[in-house]
Amino acid sequence: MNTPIFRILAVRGALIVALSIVLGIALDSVHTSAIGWRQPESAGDVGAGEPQASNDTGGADSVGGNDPVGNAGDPLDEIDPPQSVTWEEAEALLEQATLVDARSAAAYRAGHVPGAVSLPFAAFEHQIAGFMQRFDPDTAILIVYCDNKTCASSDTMARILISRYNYRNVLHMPGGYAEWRQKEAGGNRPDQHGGLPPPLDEGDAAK
Amino acid sequence: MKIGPTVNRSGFRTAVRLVLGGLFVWAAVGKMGDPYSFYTSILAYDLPLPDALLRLAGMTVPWVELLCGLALLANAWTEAALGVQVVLFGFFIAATGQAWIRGMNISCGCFDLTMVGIAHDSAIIHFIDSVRFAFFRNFILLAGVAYLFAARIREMAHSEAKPAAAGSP
Repeated sequence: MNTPIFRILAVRGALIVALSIVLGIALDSVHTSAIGWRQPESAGDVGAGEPQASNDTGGADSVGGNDPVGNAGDPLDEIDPPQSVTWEEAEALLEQATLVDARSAAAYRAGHVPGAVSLPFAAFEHQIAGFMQRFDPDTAILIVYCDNKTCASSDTMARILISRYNYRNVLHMPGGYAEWRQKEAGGNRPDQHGGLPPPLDEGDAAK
Repeated sequence: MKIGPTVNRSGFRTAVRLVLGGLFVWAAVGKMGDPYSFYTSILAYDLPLPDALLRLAGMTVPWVELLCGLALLANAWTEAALGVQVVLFGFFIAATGQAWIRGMNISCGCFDLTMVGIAHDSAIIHFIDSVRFAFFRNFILLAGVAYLFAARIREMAHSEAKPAAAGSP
């Protein structure tokens, strides 16, 4: 009906989006925490079972409802929070400790802290049995992380590992992958192993 | 007689516009500080889209939010900013909705709450940053954006019709 109005709307809306694309690409090319365009290079080392892992989260029984990973409002809130460590503190423990990446399998494939094993929060219930075979609750030292300070999955996962699976030594790295990137990777590259020591058991947790 | 309600409505719209503009700028600034983290937040939704498109979204969405937020604050190109936001919130609702249905317990990555001094491990972060809360919050924000958008389009249609109705002298 009011074609001029909708023409104005379409033209200006398109200009906003186009300008955003140009500015977004330009900023990303110089940003220290850039996204970049490169595809993850070594998705294969994640393990055959993992690509399905994130899709498995589609199972209604994986996280929702009353499962162990589940919802707020359960006794997890009453458990003492796991001890928090910075990346520097975590790094000092790496000879004995294992980093656990609680992010999605896709995020892990796109880049992760060297040596970290993937245990996606959303697929926790499917993968915890295999994880426990690899990492003994009595002896393993685990450091759980997720994206950055705003994500909650690593803290919750650490509490679950302590309270329901009886892991004795679980730490939480609240700064997450972002903290590691900021301090170690420092820029625009999909981080798999960087120049740091080779992974311990990458992807095994996903099997 | 009509002045009171009209002024109130106009004041209400201005307030909603300024609040939404401020929110969009806040959301954008938080994401722009660490685009890679925002990209990994998008990945966590496990959306069936090509990686290049997700990367482009990671780079572009913060700027869309910033430009739209500034447009709303400046009261310029508001119809376009609101139209773009309506579409954007449609995507946000679809993304958070599918994540909620699939039982994914992920950080939505929408607002950097540490910017306002809320500790990362506080209970309020767990609640506010949950995908369930994000889903409902997106609905509320979409309602605000759609309300302003409809009002703005009506306003434009009205001002366009006026001279036509008045005719040439």
